[in-house]
Amino acid sequence: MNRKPLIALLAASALALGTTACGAGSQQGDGPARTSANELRIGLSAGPATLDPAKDGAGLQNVMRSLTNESLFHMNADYTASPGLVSDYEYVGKGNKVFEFTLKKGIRFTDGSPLNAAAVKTWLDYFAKQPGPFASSLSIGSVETKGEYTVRLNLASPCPIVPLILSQYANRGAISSPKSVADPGSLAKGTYGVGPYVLDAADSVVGDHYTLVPSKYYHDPSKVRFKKVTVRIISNPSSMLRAFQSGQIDFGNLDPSTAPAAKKAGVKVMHWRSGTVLVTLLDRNGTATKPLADVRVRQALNYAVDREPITKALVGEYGRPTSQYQTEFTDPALEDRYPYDPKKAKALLAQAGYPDGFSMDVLDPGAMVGNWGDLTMQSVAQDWEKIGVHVKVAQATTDFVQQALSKKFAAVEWTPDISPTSLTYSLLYAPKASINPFGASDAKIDALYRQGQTAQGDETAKTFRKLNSMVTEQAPNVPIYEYNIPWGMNEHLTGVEKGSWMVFGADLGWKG
Amino acid sequence: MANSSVDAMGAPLTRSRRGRAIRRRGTGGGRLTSLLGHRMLTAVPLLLVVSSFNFLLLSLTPGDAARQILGARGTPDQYEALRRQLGLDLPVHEQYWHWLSHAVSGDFGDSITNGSPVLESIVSRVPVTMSLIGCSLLVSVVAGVSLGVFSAVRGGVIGRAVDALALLSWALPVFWVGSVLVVVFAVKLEWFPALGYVPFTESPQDWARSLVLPVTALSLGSVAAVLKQTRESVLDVLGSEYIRMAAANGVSRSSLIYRHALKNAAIPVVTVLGIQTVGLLGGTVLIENVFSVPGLGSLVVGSALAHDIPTVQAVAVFFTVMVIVVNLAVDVAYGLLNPRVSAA
Repeated sequence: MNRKPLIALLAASALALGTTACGAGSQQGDGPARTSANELRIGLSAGPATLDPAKDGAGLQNVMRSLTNESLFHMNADYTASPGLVSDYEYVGKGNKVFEFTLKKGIRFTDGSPLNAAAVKTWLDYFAKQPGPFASSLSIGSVETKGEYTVRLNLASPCPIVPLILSQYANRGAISSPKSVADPGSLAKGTYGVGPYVLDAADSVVGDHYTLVPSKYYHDPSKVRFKKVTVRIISNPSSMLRAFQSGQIDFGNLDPSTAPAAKKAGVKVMHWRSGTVLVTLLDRNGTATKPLADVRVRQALNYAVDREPITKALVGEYGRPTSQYQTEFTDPALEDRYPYDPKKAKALLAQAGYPDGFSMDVLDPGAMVGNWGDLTMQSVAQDWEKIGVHVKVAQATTDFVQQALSKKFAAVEWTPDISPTSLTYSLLYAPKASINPFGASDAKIDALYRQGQTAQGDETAKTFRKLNSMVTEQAPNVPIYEYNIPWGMNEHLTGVEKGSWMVFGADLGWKG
Repeated sequence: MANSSVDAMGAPLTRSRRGRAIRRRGTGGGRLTSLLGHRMLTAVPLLLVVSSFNFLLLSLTPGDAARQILGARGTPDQYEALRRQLGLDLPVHEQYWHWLSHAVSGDFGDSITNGSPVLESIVSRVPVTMSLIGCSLLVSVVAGVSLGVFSAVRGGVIGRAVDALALLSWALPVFWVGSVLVVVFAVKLEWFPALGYVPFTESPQDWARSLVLPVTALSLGSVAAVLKQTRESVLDVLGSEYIRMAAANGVSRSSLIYRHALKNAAIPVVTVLGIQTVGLLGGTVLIENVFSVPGLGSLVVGSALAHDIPTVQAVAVFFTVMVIVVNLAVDVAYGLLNPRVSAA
């Protein structure tokens, strides 16, 4: 039999697969993607929904934004804010209703236009009108310009944390140029902030990867550390790990399941508190689930959870058990306020008149928060079952907020972003808070909030500390554990420091 | 042909149905025009059905874009205002009509989430998905046909081994194969990148390197299907009366295989390729996720999670058009490959 044609055919198929392999093989040694010191390659599991900071969320996307948009203020790791693009600032008068700040001079946006009071006013007015997730974080009555560089904010309601709200937290501080604001379409597709880098749209694919190049207008060129930065969105955790292992990225977020393997591969891993996994008792006034109105029942639910093994199983070293949700103005003594004590839990239930327990429906966010959302709730439900509290758990998909607000659930298990105390109040505890479907309220907490909003300096801290302690005692939440996002970085990468609140570890460190 | 149904690997073992269709239409120039015209006419209702069904399914998906954009901190007033702004407060049929009336003029709208024109996003991602599918098809044809012929001709232990390997590769999940390939060839050997895509215009060599692993993972199943079909068809033809007659008349073995058997076996193989192409469209969704490749699959997944209706709609329409084109191409190829059928 003549086999030549057959052999030729097989050879052709081998060639089709093999030619490129040979070409690639010649590059072995420096790997397919080992970086140079001039380039920074970032991997993020989620990217910006839009590049318009007024309409985008905050969290992982802030890593990229920190390279393109400097903020008016900078939020530090200890939850304080320092001036960023601002030289002076103060509250005018008492009651935290008027806030004034002066801008640094000689600063330009990435499109070359100057940063001045008029530009800030244009941006803040625009931000307030957009349907963005943080539009309600500050209620501004009017923005006044006083001279070329001074801005005065007349607030519609008192706010003691204006500098924080004008920091990288909540995006309002990520000021963008007036030209871009006049054309929101371009603002959604480009970066027009004050920052060391600007988006190279021609070398980017929305939702997949973004290429950043140095801004020629940045006010301190000596601090532009990289000639090129790429931000790649890698939603699959295994793919992220492989990207680290193959040396294709220098910095990115891992998760507790992939971080150990990354460490083994020589990747430096850092982590810090990124949020708290908790069960929020929505019906805490007992509208539909009467037992929850009794503080002893809510405390019993806290005592009944064995946090240690749940934490260990789900996040390992990247988290720790906690009885407190808030991170600022907290009392360290309350960290372990509710140790595992099922006997005490049962006794409290009996004292409240529910010796046989009760039933309730709880919602969890399912896979939308990673693979541990539902597992955590199932574990908590098992612990509650032991004290007679029967829980029917439902999993949300992409409709978590709608379901949470539907009044079908007495409680939700979730990971709300960690935020300043006064914003947490408007998220959870105010009678008209955004996640308070039953309108539950507590007059003492309301009073402390009002007091804290108008207080200043130490008095604010003292009041909010009292508020947070009261919240822990009144137990509207059952905190389970804090979780940390493990950040992987190549050994050569420096300037990354631990951050606070969400994921701001990487911001200004890039320039150092 | 002895085969008369679809085998376990989804490969149809019959050509009678397509044969009848071609027989009726023929493949002459006029007939081809008629076939194209007929297909274009049937494509219109098909696109309407698919797009309206898709729209309905999207409207039934839990949650909506307004809530997705606002997150947990959006107030009820903000939520209602944004729903109005996005037109989500309108009845589904009105929303669909609004979409359709613009789509017919080529205006697929802007993404709800990032404001980019949907058509722009699709155009930028089509070359990526087409590269994946095109290369996978090429590998399927070359490797599937050659191994199939090899397996049929050699038979025995080698034939069975090739068969077993084909079944195994068909059974392995695409994403698992992809992960294994990355571990071996990207992480350990560092031959190829673990993820990402380089446009051909930027560097043909890097383009090829970025495609090797995803294409290998993606094409494994279709190589197996083509291999299996080729083997069956070649064996079938080789066992037929006229081949025996030709052999008895002294026609050489290689001529029997490559001139007669392979040509006749090509028709069901083309049909299998058509089916595999449609399957590859779905496979790209997984592969693009594993390899972080910016194609239509990753676009549609991200858009669906964000309730970005205009983008999901447009990708669904594009995929439907692709399926129509592939089916048409198969029918045309079928007729061209078998003049006896068209002449009948």
